Amino acid sequence: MSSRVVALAGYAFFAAAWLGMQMLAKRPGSRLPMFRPAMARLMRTKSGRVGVIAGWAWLGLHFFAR
Amino acid sequence: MAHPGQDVAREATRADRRALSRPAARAVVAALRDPVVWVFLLAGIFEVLTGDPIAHGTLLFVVAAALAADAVARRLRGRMAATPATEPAETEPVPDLAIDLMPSPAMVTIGIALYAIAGSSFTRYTWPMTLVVGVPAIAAVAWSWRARQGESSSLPLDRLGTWLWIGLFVGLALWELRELLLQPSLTTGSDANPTISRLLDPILSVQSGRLVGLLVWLGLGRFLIGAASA
Repeated sequence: MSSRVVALAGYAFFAAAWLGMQMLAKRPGSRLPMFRPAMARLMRTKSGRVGVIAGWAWLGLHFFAR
Repeated sequence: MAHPGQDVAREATRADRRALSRPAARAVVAALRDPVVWVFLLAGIFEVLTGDPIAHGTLLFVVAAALAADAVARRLRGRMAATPATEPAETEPVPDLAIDLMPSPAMVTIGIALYAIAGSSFTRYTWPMTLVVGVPAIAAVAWSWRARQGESSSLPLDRLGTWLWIGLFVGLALWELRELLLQPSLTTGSDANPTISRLLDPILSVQSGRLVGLLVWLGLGRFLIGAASA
C-alpha cells in the first residue's frame, strides 16, 4: 500500500469518525454530546472562545490569504 | 556605616517588592498553564518552520501573547479586588454586538453566499483575497474577545464525551503533523504524504473550488459564533 493511500485513509478515518460520533450522539440517551454543544462547552471560557475563533480565522488566512 | 533607619526602610522596600512580584509571578505561571496558549505557540512555530507567510504565524503568536497577557491582567485585577479570579470578565455586562445586530438567519445565509461568490473571483494569495478573508476573520476574533458566555455552554455535558470530541481533533492534528514530517522537507510538499493544504490546492486554485471553500469557511465561522453565543 502506498504512503499516499495510507495518508488518505487516515484523513478518511477522521472524517468518518466525526460523522459516526455525530450519529451516535443523536441517539436518545447517548452520553456523547453533539458536536455543537461540545464546541459551546469548549468556548465557555474566554481563552477557549478566542482560541477556537482565532483557529478558524487562521484557517481562512492559511488557505486563501497572502 | 548605614543608619539603622535606612536598613529598616531598605528591608521594607524589599518586602514590598516581593509582595508585588509573587502574585505577578503566580499569575504568569497560571497563564502559561492554559493549553490554548501553548497550542497557538506551537502552531506559530510550525507556521514559521514550514515557510508560510510571516503574517499567518504572527497572528498565532499574537493570539497566544494576548491570551496570556489577558489572563495575567485578569488574575491580578481579581486579586486586587479580593474576589475569585475565575473569569471575572465573563460576568461583565458587555453588549453582544455581533449577535444583537445580526439579521435573520436567511439574510445571513444570503449574505454569506453573495460574499463568497464575490470573494471567489479573486485569486488565492493576493491582496484582494487577503481582504476578503481578513475582514470577517478580524471581526470574528474581535467579537470572541468581547462576547459574553452563551447560556447553553454552561449546561452539564458528559466529560468523557466532550474529551472524545477534543481527542478526535487532536488526532487529526497529529495525523496532519505526521504527513508534514514525512515530506522531503518542511517547506517542500509531497504527493506521497500530502497535508490537507496539499490535497486542497488543486480544488482551491479554480473559482468553483474557491467558492465552495469560502462557503464552508464562512459557514463554519457562523456555526462557531452561533455555538459560542447560544
